Order: sequence, then C-alpha cells, then structure tokens
Amino acid sequence: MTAPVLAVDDLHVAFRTRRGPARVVNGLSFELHPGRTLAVVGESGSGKSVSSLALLGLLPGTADVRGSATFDGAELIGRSEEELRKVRGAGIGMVFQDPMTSLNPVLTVERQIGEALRAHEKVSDDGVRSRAAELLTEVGIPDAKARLRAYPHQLSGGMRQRVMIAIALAGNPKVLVADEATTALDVTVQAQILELIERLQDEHGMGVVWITHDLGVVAGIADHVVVMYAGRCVEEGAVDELFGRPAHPYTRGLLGALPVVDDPRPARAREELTTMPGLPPDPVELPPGCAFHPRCPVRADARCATEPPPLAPVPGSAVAHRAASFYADSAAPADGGDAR
Amino acid sequence: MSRYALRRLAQSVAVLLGVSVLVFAIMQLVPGDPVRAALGQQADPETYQALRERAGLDDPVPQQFVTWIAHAVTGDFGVSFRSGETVLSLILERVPATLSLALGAIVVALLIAIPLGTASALRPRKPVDWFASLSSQAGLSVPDFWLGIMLILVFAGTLGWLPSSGYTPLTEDPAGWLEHLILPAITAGVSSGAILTRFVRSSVLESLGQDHVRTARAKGMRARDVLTWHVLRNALVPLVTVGGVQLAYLLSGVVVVEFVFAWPGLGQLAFQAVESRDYPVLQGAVLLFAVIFLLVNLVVDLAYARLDPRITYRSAR
Repeated sequence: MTAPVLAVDDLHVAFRTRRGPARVVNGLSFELHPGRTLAVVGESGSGKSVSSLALLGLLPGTADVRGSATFDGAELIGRSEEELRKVRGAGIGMVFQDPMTSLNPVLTVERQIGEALRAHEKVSDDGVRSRAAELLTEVGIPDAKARLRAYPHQLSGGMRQRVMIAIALAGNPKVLVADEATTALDVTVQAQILELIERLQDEHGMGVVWITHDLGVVAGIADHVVVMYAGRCVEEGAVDELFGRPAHPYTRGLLGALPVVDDPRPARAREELTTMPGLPPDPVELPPGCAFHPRCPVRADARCATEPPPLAPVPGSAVAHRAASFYADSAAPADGGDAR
Repeated sequence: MSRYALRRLAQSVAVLLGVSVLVFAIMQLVPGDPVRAALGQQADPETYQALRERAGLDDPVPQQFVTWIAHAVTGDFGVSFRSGETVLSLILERVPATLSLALGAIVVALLIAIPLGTASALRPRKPVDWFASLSSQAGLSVPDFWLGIMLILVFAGTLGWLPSSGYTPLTEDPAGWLEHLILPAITAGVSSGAILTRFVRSSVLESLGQDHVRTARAKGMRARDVLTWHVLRNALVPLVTVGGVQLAYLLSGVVVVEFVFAWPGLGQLAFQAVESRDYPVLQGAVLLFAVIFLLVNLVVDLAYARLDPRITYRSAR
C-alpha cells in the first residue's frame, strides 16, 4: 500500500475549563491513504470534529493539543500559524455541517470562493471569476455565472453545501475533511451530496475523511471505519468487516440502534430497535478504566473499571480489525450484526 | 427600496407633526412672558402691546399653532424676539459649526472604539480587555465640562499647541478649522467612544464565534483578512445603528462642550433661546433636532440594507 497522506498518531486534545481540563480526544490514531475514504463515527461530543479541527490548528486558544499528525509526511501539530495556513485549503480542505452558518451571509458566492483561491496564489479578478464559475459547474450548480453574484441566503441548503464544497476544492487539496457535511440536509439532497463527493474524489484522487454520526452514510461510502467514544478509537476496521462482525459492545449498540429498511422480519420484531442506556461521559470527569464501562451491557471483568482496554486485533478476523474491549471476542455475531 | 424610503418619509412627517404639537404645547406651559423678557421690565406698555400683537400672542392657542405650522412648512419659523433675525437664518448660521463638531466627535469616537473594542474582543479577560473596560468606564464617568477644561489647560495652556476656544469656518481657513476642532471633538467624542467601545467589543466577540469565520480560516486566509472581511465586516452591521444614534445625539448640539469651547453651534443657540424665552428660536431648534433624529434613523435603516443583503424591506418588492 502507498504511504498514508494523512496519519494521526496518539492525538490528545484537552480544553482548559474552570472545572479542570476537559479531555475531549484521548489518544486517537488513524491513517488515510490517497483516494480512500475513512469514516470517523461517534456520538455528539465523542471528539470527532475536535480532532479534525486540531489537525489544522483551528481550535480556540483554550485547547491543548498533543501527539502527532502528519500530512504528506510533514508534522502538523505544533507548527506555526503561517505554516498551518499554507496547509489549510491547499493541503486539506474542509466542508462543515451547516451550510447556512458556514458561509458568510454578507458576501457573495464569488467573493467567498475567490478568497479560497487567493489565499494560496495570486489570481487576477478575471481569473477568480472564471475559476469560481468552473468550480461551481464542477460541483453541479447550473447557471454558474449568475450564481456567482448570489448571496448565501438566496440559495437552497443543497446549493449552499455545493458552494462549500467548491470552496473546499478551490485549493486543490489532497485531503477533504467532510465534517457532518450532510447532516443538516434533506435525505434526497444528502444522497446527491454524497454522490458528488464520491465523484470528485475519483476525479481528484483525494483522500476523504468523513466525520459523521450517521452509520447509514458510512456503510454507503467508507472504505475504513473508526468508531470513536469519549475521544478514543474503540474499534476500527474495513467497512464490511466492521458492519458484519462488530466486536466492541459500543459498536454493536450503535448498529443495533440502526433501523434496517429491508428487514425481512415481521413489523413487530422490526420495531425492537435497541437503545443504549446512559449518556457519554463528561470529558472533565472521564471514568477510570474503559470510558464506556458505565454503559456497557457486558462488563463483567474487574479490569473494565480500572484499566483502559488496549486497541487490539479482533481474534478470528482475517482483515485488519481492531477493538478496544476485553470482550471483543466473546460477542460476535452480535444482535446488531444479526439485524443486518 | 425607493417605495420603502417614501413610506419611511411619510412616517417621518407624521412623527414630526406630533413632535411639533408637543414642542408647541410645552412652550405654552413654560412660565414667563417672552415679550417682557425681550423688552425688559421698563418697556412702555404701547411697545409691549404692539410686539405681543405682532407675534400673535393674543390669538387663541390653537390658532397660534396653525399659523406657526403653516409658516414652518414653508421654512418660515418666525423671527427671533431677541435679535429680530429670522429663525431660519439663525439656525443655518450655526449648522456648519455643529456639523463640524458632530462629525469630528464621531470620528474621534470611532477611532477610539473600533481599535480598542476589537483588541479587547480578540483578547478577552487579558490586560488589553481590562484596559478597554476600565477606560470606557472612565470615559463614561468623566463629565464633559471637566474633560474639556483639562484638555484646554494642558494642550492650550501648558503646551500651547492648540487654541483654547472659538471656531473658524472650514471655507475660510482649513488649518485653523482643524486646530480649533480637535479639542472640542475629543471632548464630545470620548463618551460616545466609550459607549461604542463596549458595543464593538460585544459585536466582534459574537462575530468571532460564527461558523463562517472558521470556514474563512479553514480556507487558508491570512488572519488579518479573516479579521477584516469576516469578523469586522459583519460586526459593522449592528454598529451602524448605535453609531447613528450617537451621531444624532452629537448633531443635536452638545451644549456643555459648546459652552466650554465657545463653539457657536446649535446647542448654544437653543440654550440662549431658553434663557431669553425666545420661543420662535427654541421651537425652531427643537423641531430641527427632531428632524435630525428622524433623518439619521432613516439613513441608518437604508444603510442597513446595503450592508446586509439579507435585509430587504417588504414594501420594496
């Protein structure tokens, strides 16, 4: 396999708060290879967005970031603002969740795409206009020339997200980070945006990090999946393997909570979606041991409350598949796995 | 847009009519006899009576009002009891000085507020923020007359850099105009600057937390460009409203500052009119202040739509 374009190794992020450090990311590692799609999955607050913002130095000053993240072999963590600025947009492009608030309401589309073009090279006004129109056409916006003069509020949600994608593409990045990029959109628009990003990925050979809580999206597009809980990777593996044989109780819980449209079972059985009791832990007071153990349905080992389980290969898996649980081998096939 | 402007103009006229009724009513309630005040206690009864009749003061009050309004719409606000000049010419004479002082003061206010408010928003709870908070508190607390006197003492007295008082028209001597303007503009601008500093701080803080600022940074824009085009540009929109109110307040005469610096502005004119019960001048001046407020508000609302494309006025369509 080729060298990874983005490699995150033992990333830690803590925010200084009045109550003490909020440890939001606690030793996250993953690799992204060119042209591949990595999905980072987890509940709100599991640290997925924070990790991606940490890579580009986009977190507020109250954040302490440790660990390593290399882009194209060069370290990102601890680099100067100016060095990071050169990576932003040009090396790693980002698409955010809510296209209404992520675009500046008082600037035109042309201006906002133009800023992304001008951030990394000198471009004439005419050059900006024609390149911006090209980008809009590329992301599937008809009548691009006219749309350049539009303000964000004059566009639909799907259009706005296409503009966001055009902005992210403007710097010709090698990696695209889509942070809940379809979450705020209608389901039909969601599908269009997914398709668009897949097409652009093929054309540009970009690596894509897809951050989402939506497992349905993950199943459709990802090559590799990282499941995050309380700032740690609790399970990772190739998408089919992970969905087919989820090893971690948390992953099984997530999959069990997912409705399956073509479920062959009778309607009554279908309604029995499992829910996970409890809430994710407070990052200021992370539980000792495995962060998931207070909610875990199978905890029985004394080590669960004292010792964080290491991310270890899942016994019996042929492909790369690792889970951080003392029960990784005891459960498959799981309820969630059954349902699929 | 033009239909909206027209509708707003019509509303303004209605407000103005209400204001004029109020102004007129208050004048009626104020004790004292304007003619007696103009002529003095020793005036002979015939002259006294003649002036009363000429001013229409013996007519029924509603009739006096109608007469006044009918003349006012043609620009005739009557004649000053004291000097015999027309009210309009008295007011117009004062406009350049007032305009100079108000604009000078708002420039001073913005020169204080934008850098200081922005700096403190960028470093909340840091020394610069404390300094900004402390100095805006001080700016609000210091009385204008005291600040004016201190500035005169230091810059006109001890250092001798600037004149202590008076006004030179811009058209006669631009350098002299500026020299005379600096101290009064600072004196009048400091309290507005203090108010605006707090406003800029909160507006910039809010703007900084917006998602689109994060997008701008993620594009790889330079920090300075992000600050100018995504933080300040958006923070400016609400600033226009507050700045407009401050400007209107400065335009309607800063009496104390005008007094300290012997500045021949509208505030001084109005004050002198109160002192001498010069009703026509006072009525004219108060009405003009109302017009200024209405106009500034109208301009602010129209500017809003230019600054924020999301705002369209219904009747404009």
